Amino acid sequence: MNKKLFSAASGAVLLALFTSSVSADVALRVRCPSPDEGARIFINDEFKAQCSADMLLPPGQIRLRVVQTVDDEFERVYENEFFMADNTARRINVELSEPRLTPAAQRQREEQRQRQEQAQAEATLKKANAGDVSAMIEMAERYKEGTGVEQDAEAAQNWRDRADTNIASATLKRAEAGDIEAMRQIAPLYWRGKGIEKSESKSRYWIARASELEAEKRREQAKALREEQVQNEIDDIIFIESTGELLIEHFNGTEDDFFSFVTAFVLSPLPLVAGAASDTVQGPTRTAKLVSLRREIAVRPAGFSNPDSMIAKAHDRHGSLSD
Amino acid sequence: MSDKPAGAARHCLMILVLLALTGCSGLVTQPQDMTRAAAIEPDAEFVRLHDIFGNNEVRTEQAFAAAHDRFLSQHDYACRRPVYYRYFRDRLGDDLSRQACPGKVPFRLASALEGTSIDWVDPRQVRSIHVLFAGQGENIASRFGHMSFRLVICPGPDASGSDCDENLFEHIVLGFRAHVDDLTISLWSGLFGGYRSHLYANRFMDIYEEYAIGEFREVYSLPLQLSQADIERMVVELSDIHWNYAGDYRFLTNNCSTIAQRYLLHSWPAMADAKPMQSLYWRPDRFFSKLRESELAAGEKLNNDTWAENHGFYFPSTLPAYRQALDLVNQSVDGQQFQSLEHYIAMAPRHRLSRAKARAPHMAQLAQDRHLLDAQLMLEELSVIWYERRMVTAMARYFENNDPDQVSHFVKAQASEQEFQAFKQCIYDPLAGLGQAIADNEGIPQSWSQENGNKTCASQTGRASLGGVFSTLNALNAQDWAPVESAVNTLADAFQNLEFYSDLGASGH
Repeated sequence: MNKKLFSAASGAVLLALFTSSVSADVALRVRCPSPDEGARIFINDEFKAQCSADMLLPPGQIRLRVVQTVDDEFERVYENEFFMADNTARRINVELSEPRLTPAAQRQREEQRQRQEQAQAEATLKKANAGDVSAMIEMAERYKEGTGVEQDAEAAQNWRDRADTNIASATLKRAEAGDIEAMRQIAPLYWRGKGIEKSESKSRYWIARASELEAEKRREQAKALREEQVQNEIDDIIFIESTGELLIEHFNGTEDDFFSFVTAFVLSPLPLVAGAASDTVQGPTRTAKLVSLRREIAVRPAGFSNPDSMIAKAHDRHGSLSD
Repeated sequence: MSDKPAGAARHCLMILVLLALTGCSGLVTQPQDMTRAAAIEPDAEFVRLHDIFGNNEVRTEQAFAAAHDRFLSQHDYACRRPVYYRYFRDRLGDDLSRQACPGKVPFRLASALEGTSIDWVDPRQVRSIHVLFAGQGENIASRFGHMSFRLVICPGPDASGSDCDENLFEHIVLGFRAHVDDLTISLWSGLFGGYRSHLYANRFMDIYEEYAIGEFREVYSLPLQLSQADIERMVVELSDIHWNYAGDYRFLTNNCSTIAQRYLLHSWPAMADAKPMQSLYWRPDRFFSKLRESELAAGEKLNNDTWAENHGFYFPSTLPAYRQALDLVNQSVDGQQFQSLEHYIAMAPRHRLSRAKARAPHMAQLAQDRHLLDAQLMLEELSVIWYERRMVTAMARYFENNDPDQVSHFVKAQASEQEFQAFKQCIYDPLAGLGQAIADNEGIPQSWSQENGNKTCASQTGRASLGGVFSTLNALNAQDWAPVESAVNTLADAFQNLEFYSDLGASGH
């Protein structure tokens, strides 16, 4: 049958329905594709007929539900809701959904899920009571959302606090043991007083400590690099020495001079000791003259080779000031 | 000198070479007693300041607690620890009424001639700060050079630039050196930690003599491009470091160059911004070279050696001058001549003098020719320096063979208290390097009693006391004392020669 012919026929049937029944009704034709023939039709939750079917209904809001049972748990459903005014007609072509849980099966499954959640919540609670921080956080979430337990904001907060305290305590221990990352983590906890008594100074301390240790770490790395350079230098020196280049003549003196090189670092009043020795051996000398002669040693070479040198000028100036 | 060196001291040689690469020495420890808990905690800035200005042997937390206590309780804290004071003031504010600081800051100077003395420096009278670099000497030991700071101190507030430059005898040199507090040096400690470093202060002329005369090294003085405000702040900071800093010295890696650079990078923003200065140069010569090329220093002052020498930026090795002096003396002497400076000094001073006196024409020429007399005096003076070293070496040997503490006990038991003090101040402490201990945690001294200075060795009484000490040391171990006595007598003879030629000059010219 072509569409035009079907439409004319349908109109005739609907008109016949209207004329043979009580006025102020509406006509609803529900059509299912052939595989779904026999599906149950519910109007406003009340079973009316099996698909396909034509129905006269009171006007108003119509909630249409067509259900084809698949098995005990699944069904295919068509749902539609619309308004029909007096003396109107409407045709609905049903397209059933993919199989889905029946409301009863949904309830059953929900009950099963809740039983499982409760069991999980009980297990988690045991772990949390035993000090498992992750379990504490999970319990806080469960109480907050009411998952497996009765929703309880206070209990949720309690578990959150316990978790924070444990986290802070463990982090502090790691920080105290020298863990730089833990130091960085404990600082904001102190700052916000999260899980630990609020202390801005301690927060600053741990940030500083972490920075200090990181700097130390960087220094250690730099040190390692430098030590490698030092080792290279030592190798160079050993090489130079082994090839005979480190000869004593480079040192301008005797082995004694090597030793004096050490002690000469500390400038001492030893010329005056020599003066005392001179006193001892030869009788008292004039201290002032000895000191004066000793002072000349530093200035004479520059004055001798370059009278315009700064050393010579400074000596002239110093001498004139002393006079 | 003319003696051939023994090859047995290979290990010692290695240590000394490594030690001398940076040419530094240092001080003793002094633990802090810091028990009071700090109300606030150290931050990264304090950690950095502690590294540069504090006693690094004290943990940062302890140092912080102590510094915080003192900031809160000491009215003169701003004067004693100016750098820490600024830190706490900026961080915490300052409610305490503060004592006004003296305009001058002190430095403790160790001088060969004057013992220990305190110089009070007015930062406003410091015209510039130079980086002083003692370059490579002929010996391999000094191949990387040594660096320090030179304070160009003016004779007065209104002195001209040339007056300040010529005030060389008052200039102060500040250098980081290791403190080797024993006569035996540990190679391992020297390289990888164990010696403390301090910022030592010496008169410029002592440093000049040490390098340009004692070691025949070139000395360069490179002015840093600092504002007067920077100079004055840095002088105060350097005094702070001088009295308070103690670090872990590494002869090659944490030495005079790197410690000084860390300070400059902290305190001198221009240097911190300069790209070539972002790396720490552990070799003083490389640091100096980079600095000289940079805009941070007036490198052009060193472009012309003669000009630089005449204006106080370059102090050449004196070796050519001494060789010239030897040539001049040789020309004046008939007969056998001295082949080298070493030959001159190797001859016993008494023999030299009697030989010279026996050559009448030479003596007559000396009396008439001031330049020749100066040459003769220079040769005798060089011998004095070498004999001083030999004497120090001989004394060190004596204490190598005789435990210094036991010797000290012996002298204390046998000699008078005055003699013991003379022994301690003039011999034991200088040799052991203990005489220069600085860091005492009390900060920059605000006054200094003259009695604190070491004048014993320079006084007639002290010298007389040392005579008694020598007898005691001889009594303890005559065999070991004999080389010391010989060295001392040689030195005394050299001084006699100096006196003779000096008197000749005074009477003849």
